[in-house]
Amino acid sequence: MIDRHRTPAAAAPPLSVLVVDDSRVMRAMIIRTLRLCGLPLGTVHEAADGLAGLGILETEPITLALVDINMPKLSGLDMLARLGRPAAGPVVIVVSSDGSDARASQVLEMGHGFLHKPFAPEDLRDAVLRALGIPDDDR
Amino acid sequence: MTDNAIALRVAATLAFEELGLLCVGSAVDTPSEPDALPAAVSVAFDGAHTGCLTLRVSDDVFRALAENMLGLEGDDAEPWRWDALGEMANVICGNALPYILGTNTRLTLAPPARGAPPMSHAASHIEIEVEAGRARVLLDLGGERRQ
Repeated sequence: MIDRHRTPAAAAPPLSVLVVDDSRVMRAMIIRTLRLCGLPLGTVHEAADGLAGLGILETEPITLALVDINMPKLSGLDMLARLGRPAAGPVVIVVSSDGSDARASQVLEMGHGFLHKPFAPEDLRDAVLRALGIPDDDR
Repeated sequence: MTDNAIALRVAATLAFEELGLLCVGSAVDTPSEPDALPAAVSVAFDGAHTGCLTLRVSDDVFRALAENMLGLEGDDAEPWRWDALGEMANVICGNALPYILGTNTRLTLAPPARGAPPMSHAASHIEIEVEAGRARVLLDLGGERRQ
């Protein structure tokens, strides 16, 4: 069934994005892919560990967070557990090379999206559109 | 090809094709001389098992990774090339080890480091064609750690 009330990607309001990953290459690659996908990006924040990510989530109006799991200081899952589920919280996609069913189930049970590394650029785009409920204009 | 080698090949192929946007060809039976694969990074891991995974690539693959993943080329891209290669090694390691050691095995991966540490004779290895270049993955399992 087509939901005609959903906003197409090009007309959606700018996304305030947070990318939390201890690899600066992965952060840069995710941000580059989001830009190339034509998503309406507003402010883009980066954090190299869960503690820094939590600080940004607690102070900035983030609408989309892409979060790695294995990071120094505070893991991505511990970061999300500490954040809880605020009413106006961000849409979260956990991006990890840990692709075990148990890990994916754990993330989904927390109410977040999951994307396995390595991912193709279109996989990231699809995961973001799906998580945000934005219809895919290209399909 | 051993089970470990198959896991390394699958993980490396996925990483090069999906993250690196590079076409992977056949496995190579005759390993390249080390000089032909000058860029090397290693990822050590610890936990229920200890060990190290090393990724070596030819210069063209080394340059293509940063170009494809980040759109970076030229001399300024050199530090990013090492980071891109390190991320590839990290992803290969993270994907191969659950198949080799079991999905319930808890491991901690160290940040990728430049260079290739000495490997034991028992190390698993594969070499694959990547576009016109090559990549070699070596996995040295140091053994199971008793709790």
